[in-house]
Amino acid sequence: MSQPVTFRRRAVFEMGTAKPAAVGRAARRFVGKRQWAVDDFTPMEETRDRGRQIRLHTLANLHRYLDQFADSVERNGGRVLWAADAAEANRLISEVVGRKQGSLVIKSKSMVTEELELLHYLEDQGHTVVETDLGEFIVQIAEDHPSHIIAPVMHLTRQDVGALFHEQLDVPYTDDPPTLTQIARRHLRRFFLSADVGISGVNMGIAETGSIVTITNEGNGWLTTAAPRTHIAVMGMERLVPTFSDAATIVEILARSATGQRLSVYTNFVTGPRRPGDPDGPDEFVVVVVDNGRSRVLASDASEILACIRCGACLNVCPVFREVGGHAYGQVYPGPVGAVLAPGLADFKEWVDLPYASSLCGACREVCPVRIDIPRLLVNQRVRATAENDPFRWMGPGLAAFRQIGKRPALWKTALAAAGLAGRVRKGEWFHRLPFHTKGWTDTRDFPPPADQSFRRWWKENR
Amino acid sequence: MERREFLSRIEKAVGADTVPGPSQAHPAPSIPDLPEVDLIAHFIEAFQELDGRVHHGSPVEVISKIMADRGVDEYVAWDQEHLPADSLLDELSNRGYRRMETVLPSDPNRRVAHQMGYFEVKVGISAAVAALAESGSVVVTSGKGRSRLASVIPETHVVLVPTRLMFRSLSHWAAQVESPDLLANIMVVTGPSRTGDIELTLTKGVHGPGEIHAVLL
Repeated sequence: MSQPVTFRRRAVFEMGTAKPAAVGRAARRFVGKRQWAVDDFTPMEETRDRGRQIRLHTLANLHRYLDQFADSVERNGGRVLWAADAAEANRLISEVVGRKQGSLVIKSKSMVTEELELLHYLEDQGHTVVETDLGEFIVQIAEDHPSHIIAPVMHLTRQDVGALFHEQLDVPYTDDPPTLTQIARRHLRRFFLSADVGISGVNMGIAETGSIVTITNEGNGWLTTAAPRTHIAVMGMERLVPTFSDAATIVEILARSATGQRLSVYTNFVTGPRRPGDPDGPDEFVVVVVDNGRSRVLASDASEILACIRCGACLNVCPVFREVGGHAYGQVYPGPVGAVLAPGLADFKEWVDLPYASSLCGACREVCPVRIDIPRLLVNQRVRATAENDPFRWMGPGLAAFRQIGKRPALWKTALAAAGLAGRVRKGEWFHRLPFHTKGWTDTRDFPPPADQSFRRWWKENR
Repeated sequence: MERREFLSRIEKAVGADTVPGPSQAHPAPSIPDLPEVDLIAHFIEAFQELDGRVHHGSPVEVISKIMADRGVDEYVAWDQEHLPADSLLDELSNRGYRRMETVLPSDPNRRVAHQMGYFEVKVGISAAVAALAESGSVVVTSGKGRSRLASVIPETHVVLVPTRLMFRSLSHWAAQVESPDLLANIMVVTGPSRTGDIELTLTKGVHGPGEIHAVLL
């Protein structure tokens, strides 16, 4: 990926585009809808407690429930494949898709397949892969990346989409969302009806029944699992609940937290391939269970993040996400959840700056449907960053120097003059960069300007 | 990777004992305690809030009108024995409406040609095995004579809803489903297909039906 390598540089780059403003607007609307749905549902708080308990219990017994899940899938005529990492997952999925080139594959939205970069892998194998979620379809034809877990093209305007459809699908330009949606419906319909393979994500697997749950509003999740001859469900290994009733509980808090709906439009439970006598449905049902760093996270002090049910609520309330948008996070999982998960899943050092992309305000913990203590996990990740070759080790001497200079007004003025910053103080501007060995501090934050008068003088005059 | 090897890696990670909270035996499910309401009235309100249309009349009249309004004479539907309206399909046939074949051909090579036949179908008819008052949802399933595509492919989905199958919420219904052996497909449908992907503008009928009609029986 040819993008800036640090969060700060990516954030500065993104903030120079129109994207964050659109993302911020959209995120605020989601927050309002969530609040409505939560107020509407009297037992929301108890259901959140229950949901948290279900998820943590599953994680603490994950090997047992995965074993039971695999038995249940096989009992119902499906197959389970196990992938230690992205390379193995892609290879296994590719083998199911088929050795002969040129299979037509339809996909419904799935974060884990983004993580695997499955689409590009299958295309390199000579297959045609079509994203069917409207947002993901737009991302695909724009050769872009999703910016939000729930709304992948939050960062594009209707005019952007209109121009894109006009260029790529050879239709007259329009920026009317219903018309654009109908264009996509007709365009994608023939792929649904004629695809060889459907690849879905898994919102949840159910250990007791061997079912997988896909949740969509558009219906593409249902079509992807119902129309093609082969259905491959790609599941992050932690996305499991013990029973059908547990799944219902999670579904009820997931929809409310994600989009403010009581239930999403299509909550789809798939249990094996079609049975004898079923008029339609897939002949082949394969679940690919993906580790790809998750067992490492499970053993770490960030393990609680694996309880996440991917609703996106923590993104919408996060003041940092709202300002910089999803792309600044540089990988698949944006926002607070991504800032914890990414350094755990991938190379820790590569993403070590993400846990610092937070003010630890705690809004994410407040809205999380399963009450994940995200600020604590961010701090844990920072502690680990400090322990392992601290890239922020300049903070100690920087603060010590600040303390010495800050205590002496004359020295402070001299220091500012020396740094050529005194003029800015009078204009009341904030410093974006400090010089010398305090520089590291402002690499990650702005430095506030000194007050016009000392606190002691202000207190004398104003008390 | 083999199952045993994969699971032993996880067992080792679980052994690090980092997951917070209770790890004792799973307690019995608690069902959300919703206020007592008139289930049917609540279902109708929630269903209409989502832009679903509710009908109380005879199914054959309701469906004939929907077909006539769209100027079409073909539809897809479940087999008669799974529809809770006696001789509905015969009566539709008597009125000149034609039911498309829903059973996939046994030759897998003919599957795509068969499914492409649904490209223009406008109306699909199925029946609810349960309805959920709180969310205005209907539950449809796969099974013998019960096509999945009949509910999701057409632009208009007509679902027959026996009011005796009304439950308060998804949790209330799920609690009495006899797991572990579920049908191959259970679908909880809550309103017409929708998307907000373009500037969060709510748009209906993106992949699934843009209209859903419940005929209460």
